[in-house]
Amino acid sequence: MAEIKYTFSELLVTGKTNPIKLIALEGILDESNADDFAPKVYEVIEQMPEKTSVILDLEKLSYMNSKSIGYIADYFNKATAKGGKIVIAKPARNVKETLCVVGLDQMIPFTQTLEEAKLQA
Amino acid sequence: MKEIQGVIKGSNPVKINSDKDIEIKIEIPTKAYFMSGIRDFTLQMIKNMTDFSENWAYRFQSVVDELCNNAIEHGSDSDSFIKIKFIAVPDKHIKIQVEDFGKKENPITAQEILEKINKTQQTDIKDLGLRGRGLAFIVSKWTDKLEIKDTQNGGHIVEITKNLNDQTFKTLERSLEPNQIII
Repeated sequence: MAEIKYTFSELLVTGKTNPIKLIALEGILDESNADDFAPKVYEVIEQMPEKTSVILDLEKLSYMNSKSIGYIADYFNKATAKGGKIVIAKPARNVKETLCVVGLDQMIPFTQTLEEAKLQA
Repeated sequence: MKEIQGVIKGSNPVKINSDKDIEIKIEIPTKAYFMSGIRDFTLQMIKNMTDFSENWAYRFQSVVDELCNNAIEHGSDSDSFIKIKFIAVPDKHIKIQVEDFGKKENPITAQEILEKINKTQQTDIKDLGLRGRGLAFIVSKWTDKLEIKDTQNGGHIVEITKNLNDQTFKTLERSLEPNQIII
């Protein structure tokens, strides 16, 4: 059974006008739940102020399919259209491989730690 | 902003036990919630049937998931089913075939699917839409051969081949997972 748990929170970072939106995922994103989850992220991006960064913490995400990756690319487009950034933090090896094989690493920076992600955001 | 937490559940479990065979056939209804079971099955089967590392087992898991999702979404009606066939030829290759039975409305041909794949591969990554990355990148890059054929009943058979003489497998660790297939 595919299940995705998510936590939306904010990180206050010195020097940043707006708090960083932190989206932490745990579980699996596949064809059965990707369409239900995506609107929740779109809502965060739509409501955030201009020039806000979003960190996707994928440490506990064990699987991600191509549609979910398509959504991340779309989050990137929507966030950058508002002058913001998207950073992917701590992806598991298999998830990172899948993100790279479709070329997402050409669009979005990946980091090994949350601290690095904050610096990139 | 207040911290927001939630859970989205996707599907009900399906459990099947199987021995390690050279050829395994599975039929599933065209519902995405069956795919978690197929992914688990693929992961264990690749670990058990081959010397592929865990890394390659995960890659195959994605390949099968994308093949099936494509067959369900683009090649099938909602009340239909798809057939998945795993064929392992020792010391030669693994083949995976996914057969769908076509859509009554807006059917697509094998040639049109191949053209879509080619177009996606030629498109700048930043200009791609939500879909299309599965066959064009995940399946194409992690397999040695991808064939798509039309069938007489209006469906398609998509077949991938992964050769077992890939030198990269020898440098990767042998899986130590138990020899049982459970989905």
